[in-house]
Amino acid sequence: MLDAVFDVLANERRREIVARLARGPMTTPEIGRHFGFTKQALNRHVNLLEEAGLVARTLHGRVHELSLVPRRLDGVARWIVELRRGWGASLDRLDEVLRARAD
Amino acid sequence: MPAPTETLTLERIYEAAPQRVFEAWTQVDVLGLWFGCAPDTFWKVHLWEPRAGGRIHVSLDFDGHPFEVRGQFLIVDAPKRLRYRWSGDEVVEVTFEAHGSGTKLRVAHTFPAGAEARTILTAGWSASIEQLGRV
Repeated sequence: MLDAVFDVLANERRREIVARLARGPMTTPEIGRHFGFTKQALNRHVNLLEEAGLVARTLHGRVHELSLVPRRLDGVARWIVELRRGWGASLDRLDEVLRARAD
Repeated sequence: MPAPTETLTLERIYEAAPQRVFEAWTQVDVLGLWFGCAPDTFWKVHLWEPRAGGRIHVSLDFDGHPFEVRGQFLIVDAPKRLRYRWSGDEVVEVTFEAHGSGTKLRVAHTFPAGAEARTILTAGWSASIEQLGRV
């Protein structure tokens, strides 16, 4: 089970989607815009994530909202999400520190 | 055959000049202001010797589980490039490129992929997923 999850997350862009969804649900058009995906690429990534059980789709009218299914993230998959999140948070803080020191 | 690896890459643009950004990575008092994996996570930098061969020793604490990182600086080329071994076979490469009057920072964190990585990596990064979901 972990292998299936790991295979799906062996793709940088899908890891980015998962990391982004770790911060909250997004609609499929939002994800497409955020990452600049073509419709085809967007559908492929989302379908693979959904098949692996990593994300769940909820229908709001005609819009599909995607949310992370945290219990599917385990082992390395979870670690990779944490690593990206950790670096992202650190590098954001670095920006604040540099701005404060420039004053 | 070399062990398969994965690389996590991040880029950021900062308004500060490369020298300033480089210093934020190499001066421990500044590093301590931003370096860490999450605001709720405790990191303690014991050794951070930014010179080729210099030692790295950082204590992390996740949900009460202590974890020690012992690495080494491999390349220190001020104010352009840092390369250091983090924990185990993990290597972090940081480049600082002038971008107008600011800096384009690139971080590439390479780690072993596949089965053997799991035990190494999960040991250090095991914040609960419930917590991740709340962020």
